[in-house]
Amino acid sequence: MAIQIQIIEKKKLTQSFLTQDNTEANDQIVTHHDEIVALHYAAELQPDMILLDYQISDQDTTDFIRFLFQKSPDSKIVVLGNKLSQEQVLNCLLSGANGYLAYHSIEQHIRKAIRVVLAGEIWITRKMTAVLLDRLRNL
Amino acid sequence: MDNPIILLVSENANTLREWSCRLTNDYTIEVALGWQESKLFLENAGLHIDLTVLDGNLIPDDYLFSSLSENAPGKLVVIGHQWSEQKQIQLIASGASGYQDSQSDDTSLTLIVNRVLEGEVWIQRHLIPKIIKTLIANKIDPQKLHDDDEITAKKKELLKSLTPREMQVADMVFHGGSTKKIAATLFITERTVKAHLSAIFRKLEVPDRIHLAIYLRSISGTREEQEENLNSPVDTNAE
Repeated sequence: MAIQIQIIEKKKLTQSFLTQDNTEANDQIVTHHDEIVALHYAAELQPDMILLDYQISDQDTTDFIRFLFQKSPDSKIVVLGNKLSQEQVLNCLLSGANGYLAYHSIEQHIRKAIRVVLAGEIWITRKMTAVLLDRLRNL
Repeated sequence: MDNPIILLVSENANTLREWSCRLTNDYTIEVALGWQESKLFLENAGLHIDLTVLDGNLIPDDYLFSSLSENAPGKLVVIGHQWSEQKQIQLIASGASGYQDSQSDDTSLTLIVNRVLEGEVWIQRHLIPKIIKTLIANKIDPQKLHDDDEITAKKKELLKSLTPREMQVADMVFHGGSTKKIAATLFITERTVKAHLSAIFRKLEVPDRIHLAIYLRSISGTREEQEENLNSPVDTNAE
């Protein structure tokens, strides 16, 4: 089934990994390099999947995730990044993200991550899951 | 370094014997025949239990899961018999580190204990979002998707405090314009744009461009209505 994927990142990295071989023929992929334009698009078009570069926002990325989640609550959000700390990943998840994928493993895992997250699961390590649950229990 | 200490709790001596055989090579094992004996380990301050493996038969369906951590020292893994998903969710949401069905042959007890001691949680992946939902529903107020009428009215009132030029700049930010692009379009310097932005942020009580965009979006449902709010005759002398 075709899906709508929005990529929000400053550099043109991720779209090339969603190649012809990697995506369904009818999938729609849109890339935005500006966070405000991206936010408007997400709010109006409600994409199935948002792939968000952690570095996109000059301000607090978790605030931006919260905005995206608020304006497009049915979209699944996977954060992309380089060597994010456990705390950074945790804050993204607590803000509404459904997963984190490191850039160095995008080529290997992007398609599976999209499929798993769209099926309702979360794309994080088991250890991160334990940390997240612990944090939620103690809120 | 000493082996981690694992406490095995069950009312079934055969079960305890079987678990003990599986784990004894890698860990220091203590056993408790039922809840009463396990409480002795809690009271023994000199013995630090790293993980408890608990027979799920000791937990009835109406068990108060919130009291589980008081009765089981260290991290907790429950080996149950065909527990419902809801019961598994309640268990993990209450603080346990893992659940494994006793009927499942494909995963060794040693592997589960290893992984939990390393900081992982052991539960079927598809249950994790449901556990999170349970925890969030219990703890966090849902964030409002829309401001109430009073807040929207206040925001619209604040918007009227912007000068026509500030309105233009705000509109261009709303449409994703950079400082450079705004300066070029309005034939002003980037420094002037930044000064306008500072004034806009101050008047509308927002910290940055993205919050400004959200602010403008929130006082109107559609882009067309928003443009109607922002557009006004431009007085190019009003800088």
